[in-house]
This record gives sequence, structure tokens and C-alpha cells, in this order.
Amino acid sequence: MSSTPNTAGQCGLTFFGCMSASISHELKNALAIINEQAGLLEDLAYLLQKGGPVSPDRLQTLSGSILRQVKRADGIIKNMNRFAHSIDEPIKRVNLNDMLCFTASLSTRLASMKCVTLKTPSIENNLEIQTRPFFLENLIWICFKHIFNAREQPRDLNLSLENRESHAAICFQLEDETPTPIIFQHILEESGPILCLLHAELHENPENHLIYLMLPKKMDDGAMRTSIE
Amino acid sequence: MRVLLVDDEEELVSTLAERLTMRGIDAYWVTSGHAAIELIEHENFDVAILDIKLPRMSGLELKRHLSRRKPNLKFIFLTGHGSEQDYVEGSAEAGNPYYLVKPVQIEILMKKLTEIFQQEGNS
Repeated sequence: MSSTPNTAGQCGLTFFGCMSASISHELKNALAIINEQAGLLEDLAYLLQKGGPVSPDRLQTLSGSILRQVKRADGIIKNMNRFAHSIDEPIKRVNLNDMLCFTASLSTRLASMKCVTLKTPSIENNLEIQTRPFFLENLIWICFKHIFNAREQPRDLNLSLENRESHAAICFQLEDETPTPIIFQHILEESGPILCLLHAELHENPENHLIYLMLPKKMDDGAMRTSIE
Repeated sequence: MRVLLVDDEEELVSTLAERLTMRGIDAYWVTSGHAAIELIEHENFDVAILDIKLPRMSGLELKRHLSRRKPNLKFIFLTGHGSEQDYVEGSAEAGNPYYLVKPVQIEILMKKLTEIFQQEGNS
């Protein structure tokens, strides 16, 4: 497989693989922490048997921490399940805000590796569009990936939505120092087949460091019939 | 023996350090490569235990930085999984015996530390 996928199917497979690897890595981390904490409980129990000092507060903190990691792992698995089901219905109506927040949540680990904090829209937004959910997640993730890779300084990425007549737009507000045209070009190169499949467009506003993803609110017959390959 | 643990999962690294301390190891922990580089300027360690996948600076890059500053420092790598590439790179860099996959078994980690300690004593 070439490094730049030339069909939407190849893009999708790459995305699925990367996401699965990231999810499993995150799960493994949660399990590794639970493993250490269970081990520490064992150590403390041994210490108690020997008459050593173990404070009840220490045990309480430890059990709280284990519960937190179980909750974290449960959240990761819920996301994984929802992600796997996003392919069930090839085309459906989705709440764009919900879809954006979900993809941001899936990308949290990738973001934190690059010291990026994702700021999703804070206002409830009921903007709905008809689209291919899996490939929309893929497209948003490609945008994230190239924006994250641009710099390695701690920073925020602000996300917002705009309702524009026949289109909805996802806006990626980059920081002033970020080379918007270069990122825009990288996203365009990788996402070409998906933009085509979703009948979506990518726009940039370099002066304001903005990248827009324009998505049709309704897929026409041509878009519905487009083959994924 | 003084050990420095570096992993961005704070609860993992702090708990592991506590368990090593209970076993007589003088264990310190930090959650980033930059913090490790800063700490090593003022403190001496025998072994650094590094997560392979650290934010901003990978464990392998960190090893190169630390080795330049402290040539005698020994390393153990930890990984969440390992893609095949991680494994090949990590093993080659660390030497196969000093590459551990999470979740870590404390007895195995202690065995590795003891081996390093004995090698140090013999050299």
C-alpha cells in the first residue's frame, strides 16, 4: 500500500488500523495502572501482615484510583464499540456536533502525544447532515492528524461549527504560529478520495489561521452512488 | 541503587516507584522527557526506566539525550504493546533483555535491576 492512499477504501482501512492501535494502546495503559495498583495493594497487605504501618487513607486513595482507571477503560471500550458500529449504516443523518465531539474523543490520545488540547464547541448545536459517518470520522481525523503534527508546543485547537445554507462547516482554528497553508496542503493530499466520496470541500483562510471543512447537508444521488472501492 | 522512572501516565509511574521503594530501590519519577533531562542535571541515577511512547520526545530520543549527559546510565524500556517497529527499535537500542511490555511484573523488573546492579559490580 502506498503512503498516500488513493481510494477512500484504502484511507478507511488506514484510519481503522490507526484508531484500533491507539485504542488498544490506551486500554493497555489503563490495565497497566490497575496492575500496578493491585500489586501495591498486595504489597501493603504483606506489610500489614508483618505489622507495618499502613494508613486507611492510603488504601482509600488506592481503591479510588483503581475505580477511576476502570471507568477510564470502560469509556475507551464504549468509544471503541461506537466507532466499530459507525460503519453499520453507510449513509445516515448525523448530529454534526455529536460526530465532531466523538471523533475528538477518539483522537484524545493522539492529541495528548502532541501536547494539543482539543476544545470542542461548548454550545449545544443541533446541526444535522446526511453523510457517511465512518468516512466523516476519517476525514476529521486526517485534519486533526496534520494539525497535531505541525508543531510540538503545548497548544489548544479550537473547533466550531457553522450553518451555511446548503452546507455545514467544521472550523479548525489554528494558532498564530501554525503554518496553515502547509497543513492545508497535507490534509488535501491525504483526504482527496474522502472529500470526493463525501462531496465535501476543504477551504483555508491563512490570514486568520482557519481551515474549513465544508460538508453538504444532504447527499445527492451522485454522492450516494459513489463507489468506495 | 537509584532509579529514574519516566512515563506520561502519572498514576502508573508513581505507583511503580512506590513499589520499587518498598523493595529497597531509591526510585524517582517524572512524566516527561524534558523533566527527566532537567532532573538528571542535578541528580545521579544508575538506571533509567523509560516508556517508549512519550509525548513530544520518544523514549528512544530521551535515551540519546540522557546517555550524552550520563554515559554510564543504564536503561530499561517499557512499552504498551509494541508495534513490531517499536519492538525492533526498542530491543536494538536497549539490548533485548532490558525491554519490558506493560503490564510490568514487578518481580521481572526487579530481576532486571538486580542483573544490572551485578553487572555494575563486576565491571
